[in-house]
Amino acid sequence: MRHIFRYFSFDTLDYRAAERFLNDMAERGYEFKGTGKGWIRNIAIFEKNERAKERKYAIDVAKRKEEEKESYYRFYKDLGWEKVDCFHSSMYIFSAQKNNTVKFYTDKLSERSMLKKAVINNGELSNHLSQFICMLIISSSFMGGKENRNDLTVYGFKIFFSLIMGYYALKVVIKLIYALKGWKARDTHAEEQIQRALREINKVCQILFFLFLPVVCLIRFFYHMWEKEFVIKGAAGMELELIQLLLCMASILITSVTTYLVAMYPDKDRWKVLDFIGIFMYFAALWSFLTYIL
Amino acid sequence: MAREQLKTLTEPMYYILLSLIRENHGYGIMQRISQLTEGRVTVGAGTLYTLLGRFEKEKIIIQVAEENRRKIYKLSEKGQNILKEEFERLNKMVRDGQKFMDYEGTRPDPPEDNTGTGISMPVNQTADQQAAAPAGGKDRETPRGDGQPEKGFGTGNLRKGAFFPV
Repeated sequence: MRHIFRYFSFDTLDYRAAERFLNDMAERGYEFKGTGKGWIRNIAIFEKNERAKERKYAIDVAKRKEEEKESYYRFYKDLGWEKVDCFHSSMYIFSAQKNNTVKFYTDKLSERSMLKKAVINNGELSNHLSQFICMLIISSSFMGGKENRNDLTVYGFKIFFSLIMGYYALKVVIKLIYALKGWKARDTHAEEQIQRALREINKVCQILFFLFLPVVCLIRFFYHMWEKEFVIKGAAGMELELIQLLLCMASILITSVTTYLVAMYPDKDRWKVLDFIGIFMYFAALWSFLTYIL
Repeated sequence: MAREQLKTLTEPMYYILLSLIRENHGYGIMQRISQLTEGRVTVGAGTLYTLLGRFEKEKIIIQVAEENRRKIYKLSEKGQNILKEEFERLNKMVRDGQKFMDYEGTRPDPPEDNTGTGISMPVNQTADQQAAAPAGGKDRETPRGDGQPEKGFGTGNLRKGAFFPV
């Protein structure tokens, strides 16, 4: 049994691309096992086996209540569609045998109302809007002023922050475009491009989120070492940098290992504790970094 | 908006309601539809689920039981009325269509076009053609512009296309 991990981040409006991706992977012989359950959610786990070639995947975009779920899964199971996973509690991924004649969506109207419901009623639009406004407010605290701290790390952080802001702005824009066009799940050129850009930005942000801090810490550590003549004077006066660096490195190691373990053994809860410890360490390091910037 | 859509049922909706005259559950509905239409109408799983949810919300169908996590639905009184109305409407559509479809072979075919002008029939022969066609439909009995003056205020020249050429 060989497992592979792929990056999996799709907007709810982009569910067709997600379906296409899963079906492509199935065609190549990788069976979809689920998405990340730990702190890192945006990954998909695939298992290489021969069964995969006889399966097809479909996604239902909805938010189901806890008490409704049982009968919801049962309903689809009767029709041959088995629930595989629920991604971000709004995309339900189902799989069926390839010879199953029951299609998933046959009615354009219900498909459109599904998208509209997901974005408006389930509060996705308002969520992204409020996230964007929050980030704008936060950004105003360090974007202006503090000319004395304009070194490389602060610049890097500003660029990173603007990237995330742009990501949320784009998410709001794509939803508004869909609203204006009447919620048609069309694969027109412009929308496809925006969705692809969103996916790429998301990927970059996620990688940066976990790489930016250690890189900065490493640079600062060596810089201080050089400045304070570490070899001669010893580690005195550098405890903060050292602790920060160690926290970063360890947290990333722990989170990536636990993500893998949680994915492999989803029924064991004890890995999740480890996951929380890892992410707590990371945020402790982030906090000390932010106190330096602000 | 949902109200507006339900005035005329779409094909899947109609067949779902038909199969819910007797109490039935999701899988049964699907089977019944493919039995009834011999595979002509297919309803997707997701479509069926959303439609059932909507019908239940509008109280067109009611949940009568739940066994083994399967919800069993049945048509409510309101749903029966809607189905009956739709049935009448469809019947009327068929009857209207039949007025034009039943000729019993008396409809004369247009003669061959050998004039080269693109008009398939000389003008003096069209009267026979019209007489041969059966007089049916409302338009023929009360044609517009039959000499009577229009009642009410006329719109003058302010018709569609007066300002904006259509």
